[in-house]
Amino acid sequence: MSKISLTPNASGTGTLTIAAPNTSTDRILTLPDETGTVLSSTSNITSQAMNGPTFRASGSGQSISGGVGNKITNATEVWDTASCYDTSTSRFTPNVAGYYQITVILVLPALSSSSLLINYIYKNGSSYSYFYNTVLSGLTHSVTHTDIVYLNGSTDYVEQYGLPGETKSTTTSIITGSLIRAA
Amino acid sequence: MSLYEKIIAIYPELNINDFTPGGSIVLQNDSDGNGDYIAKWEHPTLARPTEEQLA
Repeated sequence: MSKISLTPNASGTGTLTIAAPNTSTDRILTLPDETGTVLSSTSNITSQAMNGPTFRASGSGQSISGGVGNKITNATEVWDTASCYDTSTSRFTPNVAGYYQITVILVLPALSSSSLLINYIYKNGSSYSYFYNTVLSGLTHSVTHTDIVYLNGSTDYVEQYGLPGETKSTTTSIITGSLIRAA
Repeated sequence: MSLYEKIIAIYPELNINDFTPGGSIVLQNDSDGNGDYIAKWEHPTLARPTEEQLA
């Protein structure tokens, strides 16, 4: 039979009380089978992860050249909780190191011929990852791409780029990001 | 005429696939006012166009 040991602290003067709630139901609290500190709702263990930077920005009407990887300008902020998104450069440079879920959406009007549309996530000025669709002429098309990107919390940044098969003005572009795990 | 269209006019044998990821040519525009430019030209047989050709 395992045992429960209560260990007072010789230096402290306070009294810890285990209090029962007002309930008529029998309950069992099972302690984890490992060494550590049991957390409470006020424990500040993951404040960065739970309250880390997140943003959403969008744009439209940007002329982007066919056959060219165009930096997409998303100058309209919807939210930017940590002021890490720069609308003048359309860059997200978070101030907390960690892993970020980045999503980019690109919508274009119909192309005059069948071609393709590529939607990129750029990290620090270079292609990080992309997704593309082959598109049929005469049809509006869109590409959504999402990936997880590690950003160092100081100098790393992400941007959206898009490569259409022919020169067009964007119908809508969106970039969003959220910290999903602090480093 | 865009840079892509100029290059296609010089080298009609190229197509959009040559300019996509995995292709040998990367054209880029950083929306910084400097326009389209050749970020990478690694085509195995075709020479990078000169400024005069692209003018």
